Amino acid sequence: MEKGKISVWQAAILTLIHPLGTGMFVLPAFAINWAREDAWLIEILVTVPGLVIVFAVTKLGLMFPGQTIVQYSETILGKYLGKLVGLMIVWYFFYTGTVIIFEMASFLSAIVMPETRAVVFIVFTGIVIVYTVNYGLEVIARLTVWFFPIITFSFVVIIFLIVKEMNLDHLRPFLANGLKPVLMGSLAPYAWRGTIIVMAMLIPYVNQPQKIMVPYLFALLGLGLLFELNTMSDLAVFGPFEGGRISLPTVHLVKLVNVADFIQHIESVLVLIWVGGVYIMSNLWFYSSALGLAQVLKLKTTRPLLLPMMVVYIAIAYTNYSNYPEFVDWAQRPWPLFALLHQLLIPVFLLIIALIRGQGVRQAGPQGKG
Amino acid sequence: MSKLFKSFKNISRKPYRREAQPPDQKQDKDFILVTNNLEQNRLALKSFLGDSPDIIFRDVRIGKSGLQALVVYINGLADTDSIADNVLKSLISEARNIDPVDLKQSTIDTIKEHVLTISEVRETESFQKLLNYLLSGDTVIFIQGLEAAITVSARSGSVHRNVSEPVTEAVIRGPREGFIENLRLNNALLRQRIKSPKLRFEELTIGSITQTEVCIAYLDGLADKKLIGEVKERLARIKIDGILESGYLEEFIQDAPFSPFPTIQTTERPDVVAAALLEGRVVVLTDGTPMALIVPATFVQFLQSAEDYYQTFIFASFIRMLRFISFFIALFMPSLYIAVTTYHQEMLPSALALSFAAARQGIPFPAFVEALIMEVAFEILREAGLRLPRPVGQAVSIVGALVIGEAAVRANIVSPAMVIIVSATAIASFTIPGFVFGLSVRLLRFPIMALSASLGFFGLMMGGFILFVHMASLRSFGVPYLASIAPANWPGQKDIFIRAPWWTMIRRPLDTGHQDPVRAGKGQKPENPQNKSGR
Repeated sequence: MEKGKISVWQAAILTLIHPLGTGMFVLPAFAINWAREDAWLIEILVTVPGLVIVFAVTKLGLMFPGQTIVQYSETILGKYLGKLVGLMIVWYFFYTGTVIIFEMASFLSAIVMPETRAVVFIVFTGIVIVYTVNYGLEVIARLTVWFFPIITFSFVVIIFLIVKEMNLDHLRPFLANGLKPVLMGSLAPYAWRGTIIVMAMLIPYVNQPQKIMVPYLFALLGLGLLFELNTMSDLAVFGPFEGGRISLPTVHLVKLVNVADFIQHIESVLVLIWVGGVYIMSNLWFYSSALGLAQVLKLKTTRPLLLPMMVVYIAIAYTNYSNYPEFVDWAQRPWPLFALLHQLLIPVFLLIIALIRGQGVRQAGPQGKG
Repeated sequence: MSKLFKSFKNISRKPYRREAQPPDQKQDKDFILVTNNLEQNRLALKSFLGDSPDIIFRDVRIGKSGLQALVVYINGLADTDSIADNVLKSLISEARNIDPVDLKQSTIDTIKEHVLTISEVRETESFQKLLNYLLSGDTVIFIQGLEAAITVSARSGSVHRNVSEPVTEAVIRGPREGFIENLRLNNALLRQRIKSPKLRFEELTIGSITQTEVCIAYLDGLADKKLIGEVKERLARIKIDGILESGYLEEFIQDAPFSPFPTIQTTERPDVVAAALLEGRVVVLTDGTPMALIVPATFVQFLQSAEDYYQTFIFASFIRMLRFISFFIALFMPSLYIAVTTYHQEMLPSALALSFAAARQGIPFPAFVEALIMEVAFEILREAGLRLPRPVGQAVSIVGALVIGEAAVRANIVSPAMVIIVSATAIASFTIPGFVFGLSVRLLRFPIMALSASLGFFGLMMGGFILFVHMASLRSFGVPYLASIAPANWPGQKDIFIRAPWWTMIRRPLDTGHQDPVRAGKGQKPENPQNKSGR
């Protein structure tokens, strides 16, 4: 299976950076659309379920050392139910991957290269992903660690360049419409934050699993901080109504950048962030699904799965949605529930059962307590 | 990727495949021993060597005893003066004290001890060894009635040029010496730099016909034993008729034969080799070529020049960052131009976009074709300039400059902007110190250009990803190719994008120097003596 080892901080950066590329663009619209002035609250709110995930995944990872979530679900629930849960998780990784590929391809073919069809981007990305995933986790981690400074740096620079357009009055009044719209609006952002569940597939391949807690928390909070900055600046620039109406507010935000009539039209930087982010995320998720499937099927290696899986992957990514609004609708309504089940409920459920049945290794150290 | 397809290949593999026979190295001369009959020995030698006129057979009689002896050497390889003085003269006139009756082992010892006034004397019984010595320039002495031959090392010091400044790796500041084609002298050049008993040379002979001497150099206790073993094992596996240049070896022992990136560093500078040895690397020197191979080699080594370590660290760091930038320019600049002018015009500031558009007006080709024409033309010019005799090369460069620079633009075949891009790319690619690495950059430019011409920025990025993934997956003798960059580590950063001052580089590089990590003492930062006294 996977022979490579990555360091805890590599794992943390992988977890932190992978949803950023996609979430940055679509999330603010969802959040502002629902919560209006209180959109900035959402990212703070969804940290709470995020903490639960961090706790559950770390605890499980330490109780079943050397096993991924797919493997210990079988240990905990027994052969048949365990394999079913494992397959659900595999499907979750796989399907989400197809969705983000579609999302990127439709962005590219809609905005950047209007005369090229989305399928070209999907197929091409798919090929590059297989090429990458074939080399295993170590190479994915090395690649991602280099993308981290690039993405965060360009992101922070963009925010910095746009500061003069911001109007913080857009952030008030506080909770004028009550808590309900905020909660409703936090569903999709929650689904993006919850992608940190991918750590459950990485923990066995980390060199010091017992030290995973702090980096994992760092990943959760760092991701939250970047999303929060993003939502807040979109809200502050466009206001509660326009910001919700535009489908990709961050793209429009970047279009406003104009420094001395020289630094302008830097949307191509967005292509860099988006394509890079999606590439990283789908690498990791495709890798996780292939690894998970190989573990469910008890294969020795993931390699024979990669090409057939990628064919299906491309087919699903291409046919699943006919257009971008359909995706937006899906991402706001059924998707958070789908994500909630796999990201939050399954790990918590597994943890509870494992604790009740007294399975796994009990750790006495302070790290194990979480 | 290769492993991915291997799982499919297994299915189609034919059950019977005959192994290629290795070249036959064992001939009967192995088993032929020197006889006690002089004439038989002479005939045997003639049957092995043929009747070449440069092989000299000289019959002598030892001392007054009249004992027959035969001296054989190769004219040109052996030092005739030395043979005349120290072998022939000694045998004929100075060997008065040998008793002809006693034809046992003691004679050989007597001759060795009392007669031959040459330092290196060996006793040989088999013809194979004997032939090896003879062909390397030694002189062989057969004595009637003895079942062994004496080989005397009186080589003329084979023909070689003087130590001169290396042409491919010029420096402003630094030693001017370069390796030459003679292995012994190259060893001496290294010994001069590293006067340590730890410096070890191990020699092996490769090439069933050429019998080329290949020397593995390392510092004992510094280089990883496993690495040394691995190098030896890979070298020992080579079965070929001849090794004429270290490039032969390189292709046999490198990790990724199909990668465009070199995974072995080549250099002709003794100081670079010495630095590599001090970092715990292993060096392979080959007789007959000034090019030494350094393993393991990582990506950054090809962007480092020896001079980086001799210049002031501030300047060296600046130059090094410049080199990284020019690496990216050399690789991506034409592609970037193609992507921007073809798909992403909106990215440019309006004034620049307008001037680009004006420059491209009337050009009949799309940017990609234009770039392709220019790049290919440039590569042809470069190659022509390299192969032509030097006086003609100048003419080529003038014609090239006129045709590419002036006429092509005037004739509206290429745009002036493209000329700028291509020349910037070319100049940037010349800043890469590792010549082999420059070649791979030149080559890789074309597929990336094609990608960005078909898919714009997206294609460019995907090309970049593929390159990065490929490089991140490469290993050179167990060391990740992008060591210190990916996987990134902090201590390594002192010598990647910058060159930290020597007093901060206390440790050797992690990947190769882990046997003996400390290289310098702590706290050697030069300080103003006035500050020290606490004023």
